[in-house]
Amino acid sequence: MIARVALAALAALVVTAGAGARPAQDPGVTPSTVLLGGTVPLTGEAAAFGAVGPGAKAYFDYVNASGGVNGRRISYTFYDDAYNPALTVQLTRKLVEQDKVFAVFNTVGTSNSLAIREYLNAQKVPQLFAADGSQAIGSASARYPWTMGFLMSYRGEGAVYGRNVAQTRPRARIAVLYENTELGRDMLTGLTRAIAGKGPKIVAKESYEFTGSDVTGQIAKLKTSRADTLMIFATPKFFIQAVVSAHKLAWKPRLYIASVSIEPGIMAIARVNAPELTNGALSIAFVKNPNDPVWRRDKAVALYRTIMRRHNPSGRVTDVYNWYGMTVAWTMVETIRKAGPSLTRAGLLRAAQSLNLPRNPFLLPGIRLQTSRADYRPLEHVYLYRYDNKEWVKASGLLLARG
Amino acid sequence: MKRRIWTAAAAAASLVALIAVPSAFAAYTTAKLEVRQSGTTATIKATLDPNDDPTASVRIFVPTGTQLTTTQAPGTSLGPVRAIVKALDLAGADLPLEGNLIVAARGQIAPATQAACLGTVAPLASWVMVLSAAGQTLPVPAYLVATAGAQAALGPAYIQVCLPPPDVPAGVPGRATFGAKLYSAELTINGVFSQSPGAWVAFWTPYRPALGQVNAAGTVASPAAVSAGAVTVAAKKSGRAGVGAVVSGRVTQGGQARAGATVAIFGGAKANRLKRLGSVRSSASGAFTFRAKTGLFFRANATAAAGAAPAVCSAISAAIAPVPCVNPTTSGFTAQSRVIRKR
Repeated sequence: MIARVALAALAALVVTAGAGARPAQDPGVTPSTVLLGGTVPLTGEAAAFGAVGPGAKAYFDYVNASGGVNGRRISYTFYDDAYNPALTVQLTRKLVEQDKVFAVFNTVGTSNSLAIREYLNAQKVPQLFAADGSQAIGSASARYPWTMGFLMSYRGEGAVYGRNVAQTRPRARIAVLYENTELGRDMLTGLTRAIAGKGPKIVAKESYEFTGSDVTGQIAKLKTSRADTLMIFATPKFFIQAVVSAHKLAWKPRLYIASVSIEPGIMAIARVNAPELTNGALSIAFVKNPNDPVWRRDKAVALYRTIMRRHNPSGRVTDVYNWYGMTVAWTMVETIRKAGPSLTRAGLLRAAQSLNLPRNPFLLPGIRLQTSRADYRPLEHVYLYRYDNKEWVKASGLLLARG
Repeated sequence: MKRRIWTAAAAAASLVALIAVPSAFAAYTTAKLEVRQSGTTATIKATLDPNDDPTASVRIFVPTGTQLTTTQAPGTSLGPVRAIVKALDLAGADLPLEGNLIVAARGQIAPATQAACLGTVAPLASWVMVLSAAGQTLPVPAYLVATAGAQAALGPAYIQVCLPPPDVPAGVPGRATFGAKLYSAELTINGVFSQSPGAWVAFWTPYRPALGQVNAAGTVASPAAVSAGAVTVAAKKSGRAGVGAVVSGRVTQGGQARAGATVAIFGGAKANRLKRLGSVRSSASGAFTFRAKTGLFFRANATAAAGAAPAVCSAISAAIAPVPCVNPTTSGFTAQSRVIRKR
């Protein structure tokens, strides 16, 4: 009898010890749920990007309605940081420390993503697929392995414009308006390198602070350079200001527009105010535009409309940032799937570091999402598009946008 | 000599003042209201020049005799809204806005916002124009308020919209988002107003430029008459053997002559097989004449666009005094005569 009790006690001890040896569960994940969090600018200067949050959430809700990923439903909490990095920090800490999110996802903005990078890496919280293409984030994987952006390199985007202008108008005189952040500076670097020794010249450049109020003065200065080409490496508010100001000055340069500002609703405002400038403007694209008749019969567009109707009924279907949100959410879902049923933060990061996804239905054909431990840029290919004052029309084959 | 120079300078200054004063006073004179109504669907278009002073409030009285239905549930869309604002923060870009007029839910409009617009008056209904552009949503409250006292001479109720000042310095509390200066709005309102002929009258009150202070003395009224049109027609034999016809008639609106209407004349040998023969325009007296080469039976279709109607200001001047009446309009219409036989 004593021996039997001793044996039972020993067995209990073994079981208890075994339980104690299991790795502690990461916050924000249970056998049936995983909690993601992020910040997006629903208000403020960059509210135009706001739909990336609701768009992504709608896609997660659609996936949840079909059973989730590896048996887990994805919850996604996003807060409005008004594009203010100080608020991004505050709200991200809330997400990690109070809401106990498993990972931070889809943060919008370079300054915003940089502001939380140190903290999230110290906490070993995955910071995945930030809406960013800066060198500061894309080339710092060795020091900040927990942080990965989503967009193609801003330098690469600038280089695409540079190569295009060098090929098509080798005598171009280029003026550049750029945001004095990684976004603008990286694009300018890419452009400068791409045209070096090839004919086109940058004859003037003016920067603005993203906390500034107006770029009218900068445009007036750029006009005096007698440039025939204007590259606007700016977020939507400043892009519209720039176009309206150039129109008022009767300046008619050929426009190249940073892809962050080409959403059809934003272009519609620019077109209403300066049609002579927007007609023929060039930019790059990597996602399909659900408003483009070319994709009328595309299955992804049909799926998008269904998801919007069921899971984001108050959202504007024509707002391409909803579509972008779904593009990134699709990628996150596949990354979680790849991480497997035993979901940990380290496992999610390993999955993100080895993506090879050729069929994201929201991306333009031929664009593949690929990463490695040394390559933290999922997107590296784009197409050049031309605006005809109705639609963006494809103007090139697949182009490499590596910085 | 010195005195002559001073005199000349003073004269020049007076001249400048003479030129400047009218333009300062003329900074809020283009406000215009146009209304058309079909059944209980009223389409109200309110516009003014984008360079006029910013608008602080607009109060639109519905015509006398209008029956009101305000039982719509919160969240109900009463109809689409299209607006254009000049966004001062976007280098003065025109921003086309689209959205819907929604019946406000309880608490959707902050009490302080309502009080700032209506004071202590309780509205019959509270609505919100939910407008958006480029990801930015601009909710603009609108209220339906019962008239009282002398106001009742203009109609049983008015729609009131108050707007924030767009041109005060950035950072001033209450400044319009993006420095948005509203200068055009078209609202379709379904199921609220019965059709009642008469004049809708808008009272527009501006802000003092760059100060954000309401300029009550700058208020102007702009009426919009809504009434049905009619066309009458007669035909006399003309030409050798009476083969042709002189088709004449008159276009009226609200019982008054309607000039400038396009009158299409239909004719044929059989009353039920009329073909379009041509068109004429109605004269200042509303009359028109058309010479048809053939035809026994005739009909006229009149189409009138919305247009200026100076008589409307005269008709309401007593009710709106001392507020100046500007840019009166009358609604467009289409009307069809009966088929007549030439005599």
